[in-house]
Order: sequence, then structure tokens, then C-alpha cells
Amino acid sequence: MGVSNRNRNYSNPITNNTESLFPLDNDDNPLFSITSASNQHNEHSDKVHELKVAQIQRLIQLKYRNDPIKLIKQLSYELSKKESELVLIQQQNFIKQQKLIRLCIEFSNLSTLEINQRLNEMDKDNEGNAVSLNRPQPIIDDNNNNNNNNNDHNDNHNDHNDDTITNNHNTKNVSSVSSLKSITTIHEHDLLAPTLGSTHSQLPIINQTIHHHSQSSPSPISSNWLTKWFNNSTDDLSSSLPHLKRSSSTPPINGNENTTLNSHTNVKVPVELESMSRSDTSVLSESEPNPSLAINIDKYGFFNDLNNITTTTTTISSTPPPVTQSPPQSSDESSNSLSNSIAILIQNKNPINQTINHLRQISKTHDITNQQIENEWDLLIRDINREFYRRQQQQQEQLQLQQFQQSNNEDSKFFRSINKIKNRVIGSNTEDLEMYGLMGLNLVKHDETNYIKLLGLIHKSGILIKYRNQLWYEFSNGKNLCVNGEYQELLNRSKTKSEIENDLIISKNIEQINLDLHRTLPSNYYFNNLIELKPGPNFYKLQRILYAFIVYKPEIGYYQGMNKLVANLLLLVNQPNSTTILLKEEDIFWIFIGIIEEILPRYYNPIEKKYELFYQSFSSIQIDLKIVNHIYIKKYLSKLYGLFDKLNVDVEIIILNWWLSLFIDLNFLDLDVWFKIFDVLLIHDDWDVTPDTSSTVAVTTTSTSTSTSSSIPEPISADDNNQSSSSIEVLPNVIKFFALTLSMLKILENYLLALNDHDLIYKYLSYTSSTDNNNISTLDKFKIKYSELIKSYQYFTKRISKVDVSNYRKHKLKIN
Amino acid sequence: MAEVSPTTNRFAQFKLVLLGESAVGKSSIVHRFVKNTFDDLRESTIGAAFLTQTITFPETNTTIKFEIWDTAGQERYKSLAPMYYRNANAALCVYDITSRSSFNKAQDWIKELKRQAPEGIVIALVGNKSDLAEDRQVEADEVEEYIQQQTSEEDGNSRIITSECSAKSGEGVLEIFNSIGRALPVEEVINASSRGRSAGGARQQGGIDLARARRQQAAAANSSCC
Repeated sequence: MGVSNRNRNYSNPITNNTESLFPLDNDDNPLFSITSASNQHNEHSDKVHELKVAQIQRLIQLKYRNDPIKLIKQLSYELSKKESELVLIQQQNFIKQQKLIRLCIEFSNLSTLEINQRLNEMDKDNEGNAVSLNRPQPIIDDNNNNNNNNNDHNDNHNDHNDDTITNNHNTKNVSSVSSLKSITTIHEHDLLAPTLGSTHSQLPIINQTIHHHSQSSPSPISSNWLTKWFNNSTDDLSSSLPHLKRSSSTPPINGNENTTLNSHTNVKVPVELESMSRSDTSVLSESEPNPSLAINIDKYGFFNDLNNITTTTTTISSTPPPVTQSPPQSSDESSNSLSNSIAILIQNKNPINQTINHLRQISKTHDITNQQIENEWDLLIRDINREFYRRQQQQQEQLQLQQFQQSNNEDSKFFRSINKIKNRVIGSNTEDLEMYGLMGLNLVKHDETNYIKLLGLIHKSGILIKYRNQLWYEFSNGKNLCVNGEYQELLNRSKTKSEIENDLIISKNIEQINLDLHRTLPSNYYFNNLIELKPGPNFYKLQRILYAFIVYKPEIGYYQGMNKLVANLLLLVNQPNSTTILLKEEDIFWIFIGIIEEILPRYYNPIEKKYELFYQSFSSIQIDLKIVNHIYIKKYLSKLYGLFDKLNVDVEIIILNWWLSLFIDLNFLDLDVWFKIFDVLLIHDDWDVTPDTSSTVAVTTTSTSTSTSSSIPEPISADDNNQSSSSIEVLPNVIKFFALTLSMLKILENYLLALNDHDLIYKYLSYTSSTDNNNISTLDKFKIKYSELIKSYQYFTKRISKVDVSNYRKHKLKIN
Repeated sequence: MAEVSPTTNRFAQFKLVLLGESAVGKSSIVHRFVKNTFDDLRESTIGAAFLTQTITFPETNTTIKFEIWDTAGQERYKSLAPMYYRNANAALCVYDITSRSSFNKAQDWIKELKRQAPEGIVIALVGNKSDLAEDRQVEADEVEEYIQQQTSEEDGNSRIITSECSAKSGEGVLEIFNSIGRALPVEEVINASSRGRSAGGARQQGGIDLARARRQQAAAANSSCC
């Protein structure tokens, strides 16, 4: 048959896995029994290998007029027919799996248990089809022509399969061509050859699908399989998806589309380069191989191409951005293959080749840096864990020693048992001890070297996505604030208060929340499912979190802007790369509370003689804006100060917008960078800023350490302390807001000076909703890079002292 | 923004601020006016958004540029509003014709503007969502009655422009800005600017005595002035 045996050593995923899963009993197979019953006199491929040599010879004699070639042809025909059936069944299987994935996305808070449950349900549905995968196990017998033939088929597909998987540089075009070639060679004599060829090209994918499917039956792996499915760019699945894509859309499609789709499957750790482009789209959208649903959704769930969705949902909207315009795109291996395919297609055009080579280099360096950063993070987190457990153990040993001494003194069984109980209680307490604590202050206290490393790493790259959930949960104080069951209780109370007690304040808040729910990330799949025209899962989560909040803090209530913060926090949940902990809706609520209470700047109200939260302090904020403008911008960004003055630009209004929206949705900040900015806000970092911090930090840490058990820490005590000593109020996070604001302006300085236009500067700097960004293309170009931002940020944090700021405030208050 | 050359066309720029209850459609009106689009997927405005649009009056050969501040509607941010309407030449107080409370709110804004905004500010009271007439809660004669009452109180000094529109269908939106444009002291501004065009100073051309506005601002808002 002209098919090489060289890849015999590769095991066939189908046969290997089906073998273990399904008994090799054809009678149990409904499909096979039906077909064999209806075509009994024609088909026997599933039996021939059971016959004795003499019987086969007789068969040839009787039915094929002594022509063995005819038998082979017949067998080959039958085989290909069955394969095509198989392919169809597997395709159905695949569709069902995709549906499952969709389910999981929709109920993205599913526990592993729930996912398994659903998975099992799916498996039941699939069983009928799955059983049909059971085909005669080829007998490895080189003497048997027919089986050899059969085997060769498998090997061939397998061979091809491995090609597509391992060789990322292989272009999709080429591979499809080669697959078609190989298929046509196999089915040279086949009547079905042309139609089969088209289905055949997907066989490799389906092999993979089944491979994973069979893995997914045991419970713990199944979630693995899903996450793998979602994230892994190097995973063979992603390379197989384009194939599926092609098979689902009937006409042959140019290589570009395939490769773009492929690039969309890449959800990688965003380091600087990637943060420049938001074009990478996850597989999530490809929930069904139906072309109408193939809509571009990026890794945060934002629809990339809103116009296409809103106007028509029947077109495939994956339009690849031109390569030359988006170099960071090349960071994915897939665009590597894109560049390769181009290279092969237009080998003679040198300039393009050069660009491609250049892009390939960029992508390589990008991957390497990514990998390095990930390694650094992994190492550091491991060290922190190690140190934490070491400390814990030490503590326990000490306690035991103490208790041992005690129990020796009071030599009585009774006391000993009491101590045992005590020990258990204390032991569990130490287990509860937080590794990082609010803003990482536990680290500052216990594990200084690792804290400094952590801070350095955050400043270098932002928190690695896979650790962000865990770290934010602790840094924000969410973990500490969280009381089991309270969230549910709050939700119940919000319901009774609004519906039964007719609480006016609560219902007014709820009214406003309801007005804003539909206006929060309306272009994000998780908030507004534009494909099915219904609210996404995060819509309801956002609603519940905000409802719970207004009951938790009725004295503050809901402020527009909170919706955006919570929405962005909810995007954390949908970050598929997070391997450490999976945040639940409840956890997001507590992170939100933590951010509102501990992270956002708080202001001292001299009349009420207490600290007030960010949202209660608009007049203080306005004073701070004046300080930023007339002290710091004037001093450090004098050119800008002059420009604003000349053009009559009120920069305070602009900065007010930045602060009220908590830097969300600014024209010059990508979402990736926004998350990193909050990484910075969430970690305590005036470690070495001002000379007197060492003492305040010490105070802070002792206060937090004592309060960890009492669940309400007083992180502001540093400032309280500061205040009592010098009777001024300064909060570190106000300084961070100052420094961030100034560094953004610093980076934008040249750009703004070049704009040199009142209207353009306002438009560029003032908040515009993301939906408007579609229209503002020229203004949308300049984006701030995190590395630059952090450089300026460090510069400014060293130059803005708490004492100065409070003096300025006092000065302003006097004027007032 | 296509700026028309001053030799062929007379040009003036004015600051306009939108005020009104949350979700009455302030941003939608602005986007209909500026981009002639209506977006179902509009996000709620935090703080304020900035946009510009020009209109031309061929009969007087005049072009007006509106510098529009589209503010957040939530009551709780009310204390920040003076930042946005300071130096404003015009204000659009928007209500939703299907919501009585939003009409009351718009009246509150007018009251505040009359007390605190720069004198001579052109005020328009605009009922949005006229496409939802079947759910109407605010009748036209009610509005007229309110306006009558206002003008008698204010000695007919500055009559409030009233209108209804639908940002969704686009009906009546442009008309509002046209009538505001006609009510603005265009000639004064053009004459003032032709006497001496200050460097890059589009803003200074506003028809309002800035010094007085600032005085008012200082008196009205409790925030300090640098």
C-alpha cells in the first residue's frame, strides 16, 4: 500500500485507549452489529482476521474469483467506510465535549466534584457513541496481509498526528496537504476517497480528543484535562483545534485563519510584550465547532470584534491582525507557525522573510523571558512556603516543649489532657496563620529576605498570573476578613431588607446597582453573553457581590465605579492559568471588601475625628488633587505643568477620573497593566522609602500579628502611630496613588507635549469606556508599559514623603 | 475635529456639561450628537467623559465647537459636579420621560445651576427616550408649567430651553444642540477673540467672564483655590 512502517513504535491513541476502556466484544457494539447485519454478505473486515488461512483462501476463491487484490480492495473499502463513520461519531463526541466545556465556563464556579458530575452525565450520553469506537484490535501479525494493512492505516494517521503535534513549525497548510496526500495514497482504490479525504484530515485531532477523553474519566484528571484544554498553548489540543475549525467550515479556508485561531488559543503569562497586544484569544469561545460561534474572545472574555457580533453572528469573525503591525503577536509559538507558513508560501520575498525572522527572534526572547520569570516566581513561592512551614513547625515544637514542662510540673492526668486540647487548638491556630498577611506584612515580619525578593519580583514583572489569586486574597486582607457563611447571610439580609422590610437606603442602592449591572463590561462574554443574548455568569456574581456589600457597609453604600472594580476582580476567576487557588464568588467579595477598607486611600476627617474610606472623602481627595497638581506636577513635570497651564487643561479633573475609576479603563493602560498596578497597590512597599519607616513597619507588623487571631487587623496603625507622634495623617496608599499618577503623566509627558492640543489631551487622558475605544483609534495607540511605569513609580515614591504631604494638606486646610 | 479656517468661517468654542439622574441617557445623547451612533452596550460613566463636536450655522457663517463634559449621574457624586460645570457656558439637564424621579432630579440640577453656575449659562431641560412614549410619566404640559414658573421667578432673564429627544432613534438630538448654539453669546465671543486671539486659547474665548466665574466658584464650592 505504499505506507511506511517506520513509525510503528508510536502507539495509536485510539487503539491504546479504547482497548482499556471498552471490551473487545463486537456483539456489544450496536453500530457494528447493525452494519454487519445489514451488509452481511458484503462486509467482513471485522471478521477476516479471525478466519483461518484456509478459510480466507476459500473466501477468495468463492467470492473474488481467486483474486486476492479484490479482497484487499473490499477490505480497504470497508475499513475506510468504518473509519469515516468513526470520524463522524468522534466528531459528535467532540461537539459534546465542547458543550461540556461551555457548561463549565457558564457555571465557572463549579467545583471539581460538580465538573465531574457533569462530565459523567456527558459520558453517559456519549456511551452509545463511545462504544462504537471499539473496533477490532489489529493483530500484530506481519504475515496477515489484511491486518497489516489495517495497522498501517493506524500508523499512518498516527505518524501524521505526531507530526502536527510535535512539530510546531509545521504549517497547518502543509500538514493538511500532507495528510490529504497520505490519505489519497491509502485510498487510491477507494470509491469514497474524495469525500473521505476531507473527513480524514481531522483524524489526528480526533485521536487527540479521544486520548484526552479517555483520560478524563478518572475524576481528578478531568479538571486537569479541562484546564489543559483552556490554557496550554503547547498542548497538542491547541494545534489540533484549527483542524477542527477547518472541518467545520465547509469550504477550504486559507492558512491565515487557521493560524490566527491557533494563536488565540495561547493564554500565556503576560509579560511586557504580551501586554501590548490584546489579540490573543482563548479557546473558550470555540465552544462548538459551529462556525457561527467562532467569535473572537480574548483571554479576559472580551469580545474582540463587537461589530461582527452585533450585526451578524453567522460570519466567522477571526480577522488576523497584520503581522507587521503587531510584533508582540509573534510571542506565541503559533504565530511562529504562521510566519513559517508565510515563509514557505512566499519564499522568494526577502523583506518579508526578514521580518518573519525578526518576529521569530522576538517571540523566542519573549518566551525565554517569560520562562525565566515564571521560574523565578516558582522558586520564590517555594522558598516562602518552605520558610513558612519551617516556622510553623518551630512554633509547634516550642509550644509542645512548654506544655511538656508544664505538664511535668503539674503532674496530673487531668492537666495533661487539658494541655492536649490546648495544644490542638493552638496548633490549628498556627495552621491558620497567614503566609503573607495583609499587604504581605507577615512576610515583612518573619521572612524579610523573601519579602524583599517578592517585592522585587512584583516590581519586575507583576505577580505571575498563576499566583495572583492566592496573593491578592491575602494581600487584600480578604482571607482574614472572610467569615464562613457571612457572605450568604449578607445576601439573605439584602433580600429581606429590600423586599420585606422595605429598607429605603438598601432599595435605593439596589436600584442604582441594577441600573449599572447591564452597563458593566457589556462587551465581555462572562458579563454579557452576546452569542446567546443573555447575561453571563459574572453578571449575577457582580450583582450578588454588590448586594452583599451594601448590607455589609450600609454607611457607605454603592458608588458607581465599584461595579468596575468588582467586575475586574471577577475577571481574576476567569484567568485560567491560576493553579494555586480557585477563587470563589465569596472570596472575590472579601477581596473587594479588603480593597475598599484597607487598600484604597483612607482620609482622616478632623471633624468626625476618625478615618473615612475613599468613597466618603471626596473633599479630601480634591485637596490631594491640588497637591498633586500644584506641588508635584509643578516640581517634577514642569513642562507638562506649563503645557496644561498654556492650554487651560484642568488636570485635576482628569486625575479625579483616574482615581474614581481606580485606573480602570484608561486609554493608555491595558488590562494586564491594570492588574499589575493593583499588584503594586496591594503589596506593602515603603520598606526603604523614608528613613523612619523601619520603626513604623515594626509597629505595623506587631499590630497585624496580634490581630491575625482577632480577625480584624489594624493595618493603618502605622499611620495612627505616625499621626500621634506628629499629629498628621498620612496613608501609604495615598502616596502610591500620588506616585502612580505622577509616573503615568511622566511617561505620557512627551506624547502629551507632542499632542499640544486642549481637546486631544482631554480626550486622551479622560476616561472613555472601552466600547468607545473602537472609535478612538488614533488616540488609542500609546500604551504605558509596566516596566516603565514601575521605574517612574520607584522614582516618585522616593521623592514624595508622607510628612510633606500632610504638611501640604494642613496648609490647604488653613487656607480653607 | 475638523477645524474650519477662521478666514472663511467665524468660530467660537463653548463648554457644555450634561447633568441628570443615572441612566437617563446622557452619554447616549452625547454619542448620538458626536458620532451619530447609538450603542446598546454602553458602560456607566465614572467621573466624567470628555467629547467635542462642532455645528455650523450657514446663515451666519458661524461654526461652534462644543466641548462636552458628560458627567456621572449617581447622586452620590453630586458634590463633584461643580468641578465640571465651573466655567460652563451651557448645561443640558437630562431626564427620562418614563421616569418622574428623573424629572425631579433635573429640576434640582437647574436649581443648583441657577444658584452656583456662571451667570448667563444656557440651560436646556431635555427629556430623553421619546421613543418610549407609551411608558411616559412626564407630560409636555407639566414641563411647560415648570418652565413658566421658573421664568416668572427669574424675571424672564434666561429662558430655559426645553425639548424631547430620543438618543436611540436620533430624533430631536441635533435640534437641541442647535437651539443651544443659537442661545449662546456667539457674536460676543467672536468679537472678543477677533480683538485679540490669545495663544492657543480656545478656552479663553468662552463667552463668560472668567474672573467672575471663578469668584462664584470660590464662593459656592467649599474647596480651596490655589
